[in-house]
Amino acid sequence: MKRRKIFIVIILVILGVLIVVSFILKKEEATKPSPSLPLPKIPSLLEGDYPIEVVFEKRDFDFPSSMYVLQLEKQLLLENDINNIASNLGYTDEPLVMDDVFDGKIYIYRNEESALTASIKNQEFDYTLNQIPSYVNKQPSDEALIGTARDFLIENGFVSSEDIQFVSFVYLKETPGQGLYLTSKENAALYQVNFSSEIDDATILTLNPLNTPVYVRILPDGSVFQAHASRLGTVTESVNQYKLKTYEEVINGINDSILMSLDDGNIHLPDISNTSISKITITSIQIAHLLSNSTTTTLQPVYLLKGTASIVGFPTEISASMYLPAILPN
Amino acid sequence: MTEEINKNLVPPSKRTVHFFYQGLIRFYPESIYGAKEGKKRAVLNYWTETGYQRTDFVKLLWNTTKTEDTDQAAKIVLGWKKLWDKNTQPGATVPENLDELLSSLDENTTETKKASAYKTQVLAKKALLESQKIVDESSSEPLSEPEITTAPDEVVLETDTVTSTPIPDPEMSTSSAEIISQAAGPLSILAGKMLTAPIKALAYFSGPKTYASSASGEGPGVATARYMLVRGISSSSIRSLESRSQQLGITPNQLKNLANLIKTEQKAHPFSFKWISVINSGQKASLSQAQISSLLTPSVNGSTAVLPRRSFIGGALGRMGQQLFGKLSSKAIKAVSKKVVSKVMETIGTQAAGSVVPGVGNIVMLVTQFVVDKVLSKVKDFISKLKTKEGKEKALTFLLGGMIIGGLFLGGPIGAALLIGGLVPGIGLMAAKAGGFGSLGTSIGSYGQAFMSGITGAVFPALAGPLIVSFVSVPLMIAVILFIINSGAYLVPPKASHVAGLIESPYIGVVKTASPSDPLENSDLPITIDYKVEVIAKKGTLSNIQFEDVCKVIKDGSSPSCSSPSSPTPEEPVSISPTSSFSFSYSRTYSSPTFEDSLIIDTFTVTADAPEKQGAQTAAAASVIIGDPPDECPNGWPGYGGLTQGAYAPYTHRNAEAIDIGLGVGNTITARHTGVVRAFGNIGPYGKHVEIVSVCGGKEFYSRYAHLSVVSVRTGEMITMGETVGLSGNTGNSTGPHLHYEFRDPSGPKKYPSNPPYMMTPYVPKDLPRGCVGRTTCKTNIP
Repeated sequence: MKRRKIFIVIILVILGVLIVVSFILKKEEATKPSPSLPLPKIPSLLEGDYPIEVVFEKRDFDFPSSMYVLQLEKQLLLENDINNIASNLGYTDEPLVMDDVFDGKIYIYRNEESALTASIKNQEFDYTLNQIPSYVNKQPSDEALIGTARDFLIENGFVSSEDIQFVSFVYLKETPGQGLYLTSKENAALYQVNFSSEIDDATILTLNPLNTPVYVRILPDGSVFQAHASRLGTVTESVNQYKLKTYEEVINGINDSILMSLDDGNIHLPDISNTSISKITITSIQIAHLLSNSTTTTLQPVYLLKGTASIVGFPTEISASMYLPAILPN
Repeated sequence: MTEEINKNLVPPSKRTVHFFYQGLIRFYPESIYGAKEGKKRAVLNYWTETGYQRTDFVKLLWNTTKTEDTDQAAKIVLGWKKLWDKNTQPGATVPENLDELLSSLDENTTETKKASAYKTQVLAKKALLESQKIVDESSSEPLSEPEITTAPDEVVLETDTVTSTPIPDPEMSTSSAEIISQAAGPLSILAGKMLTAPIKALAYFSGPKTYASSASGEGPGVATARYMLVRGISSSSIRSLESRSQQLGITPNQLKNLANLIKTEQKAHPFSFKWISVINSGQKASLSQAQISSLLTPSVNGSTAVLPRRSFIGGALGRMGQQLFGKLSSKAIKAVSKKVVSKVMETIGTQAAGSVVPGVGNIVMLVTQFVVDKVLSKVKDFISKLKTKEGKEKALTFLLGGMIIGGLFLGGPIGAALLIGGLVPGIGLMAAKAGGFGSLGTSIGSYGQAFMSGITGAVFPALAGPLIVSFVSVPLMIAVILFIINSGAYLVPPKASHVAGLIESPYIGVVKTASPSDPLENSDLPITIDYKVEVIAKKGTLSNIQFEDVCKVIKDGSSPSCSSPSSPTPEEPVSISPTSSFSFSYSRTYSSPTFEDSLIIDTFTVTADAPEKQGAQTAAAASVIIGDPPDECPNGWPGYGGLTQGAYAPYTHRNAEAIDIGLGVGNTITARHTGVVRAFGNIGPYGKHVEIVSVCGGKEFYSRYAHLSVVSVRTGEMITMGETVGLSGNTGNSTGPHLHYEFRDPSGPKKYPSNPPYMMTPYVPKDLPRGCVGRTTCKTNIP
């Protein structure tokens, strides 16, 4: 009997020690930056090297040493959800449902004025007027633009109010068939209002560095022209933080950056060769989380490098944007 | 099993009978209407609303009516119909679940809420598999493939050069049932009939699509010939083996037969063959073997089919493997399949084609067998180890270790319970091994031993069988079912040709076929082509119907007009209801030399009011290729609308032989020349777009179709002029839906005037203003 008591005490002591040790280990693990994460899958549309010059200063490099990645928990999107949005937008005809080799089933609603396309697989919606109507320039205020865009998204059911927060404006000038270029608010023909998920200090960008997962384009008369929404679901920060590249590491690894956009996104990168790029000059750096494709559930931080590019055949320098994975690879 | 089926037998419902009746109208109209004077009636090869191909339908019909005579089966169905017309239930019975499936398929053809094509096809396959159970239960004899003899648009191979001696039957043309019975052998050891249905499905899907072309009911010899043709084995190389026929174990006659079949195939598909030669020599397209093979498969509309859309064996097994065992194992399975296929290739190469070509179904079976055998042997090893003392201790150590680690990892009350549960017998086991802790340790150790002995001695014998069967068969079944569900691409019939610029309609369906549909030689002229048009009301009765039929000829130089149809376009009916489609036929005769080397596109457009939509419109086209038409250079419009930007306009077209056509989202965009596809997802200024690589005037170029909302073709596919590449949209850098249509050189933009094609005649139907921007400036409507 005595032996058994001793044995039970020993077992309990061992258990206690193990539990305390495991608890400490777990806590340490939570605070320690995790050493490894696969590189984000950023498609490269231009192969080969080209000269890159970095002209921003170290003092401009004001980023934390480590960062969380974002985890997405997507909710199931149902055909009924799409029908509801279409109904809210006034579509009465049956949708055209077609199979897309990339995005699965695409639902297309359309009428004389506008069209709505939706993908269940990507949880994406795109709304557009068929053409830019004639309008009176009312020069809407920033508050009015944000309010209009938010109301349009929420009232029509694209996203719920708790899913989005305002991120930025992008001012675009447009001439039919000539592409979209960045401009000032005064000269803008379209005001793009970018929204992101409600996560502190985390801007989410898509493969187009000008676009967040949810945005609305508004005409100067204050009416909505286009809207895009990628539903991200519940966004949470990872348990672990991941160490970010330092200024020196960014400079040394600048050739790992991937060219995403030239001329405000108006040049199709596969149409040019790397040898036609005389030089890309990086003048600024930002950090953002990248939605590298619509079905991913992990958003990694990336550095957004902005600058100019000298391209053979272009009389002047044009804008350039690149992404560089921010997490230090092992 | 028999009892289970018999228990649920019901008379065929009215809807089921209606389904068969409608199917007979489509596939065997002569069984309903009798023979047409002088010639055969036009027959469909595919029934859009139900997802049935002709061969599948006839199998289903045979199984359900329990006869292998189609005429007899038709009589049975007509008998059932007569009874139901008098509101009397037929005396015959069918399994209840089959009846439900067939009824729902029939509903799909009539109800307002129609299932998607994808769902329909899955439903159709389910029904077919279900009907197969009747055959399985009533007879153990394998069911032979149905003999299709009346389809007018099949490839006819009965040429004078082919002797009557059959060549050895390739194994891949073994009937589905035979494949099932072969596959079921080893598998039944494991899971008995649990696996039969998935294997049936697997064999069914994998078997005939690529090489056997069962949809057109061709013989196995044709499949072998095609297979060899795409491997570059010519008829002359087969003939050269005549002296070695004895050594190869085949008769000279068989060799001669095979050579003739290859020659016939080559002759029957010169168009495809030319492209295959280009692809084989260039390797630029990186097409899979299955894709190349599929180029030789004739489709309904006369174009070369491109299904399956990617390497079938690799794709199918890869998918199945991935669903079964994850990515790593899927690679292993792909590697195995690759080995099997390469072995087959090697055999063909070394034995010079006199041998038998195993079918994809058999390869699938072999690989499945391989995987199952591996799993089985591992399971057997594990069980045999449990019978030894060391094995038991080892297993117990792993079990207890797992409990301890799991407990630590989980935490909380469950974790604590696991931890204690693992620690107590674990320490006892260690004590027993070390002899420590005296009798207590020994006794705890012995508890552990007893526990393990209990598991192995008492529990395992009772549970092992079902557990192992479940362990192996359930994931396999899930994988196969997922495979079937996810295999939309393989269930989809050959693409129909649509008409550029016309909106796909959810309200009206039009099917137009030409017969014969295969490419013709100039020497075949004069020839009469039979066209059949079927107009279907998809959602409610159509009224205010208008028809328009336009026929165009594409030929070098001045294109001739189409010959007159045998009968004018019929007067529009007052209405077309969803239950009865409107069909008519006519023919056109094409003579020599007017129609030599030409492509004839006959387009039928229907405009009508549906209950929910006024002025709905859709169209379908049937193409006939004669000789070597100039279809590799661009011709025609990819879509219709107002020109919003001309070529070499400022900004986005400053350096591009491109036009922008303003048109709404969801308009059909068609390829304007034959070529190999490069498809791009929604990235960059062009958004979703398609490029088609081809040769025009001896120089490589590509056309681009950009800002699409839907891309319908995959990279590496072969596409012919007039086939749909996708739907117009607004993706990429675009402010408003439009199509960006462009010609480019591989090295960059085109430089007028040194290097055609350009956005001017004859590469587009009319000259367009160059350099204009905006609809008001361009002032041009297309067409």
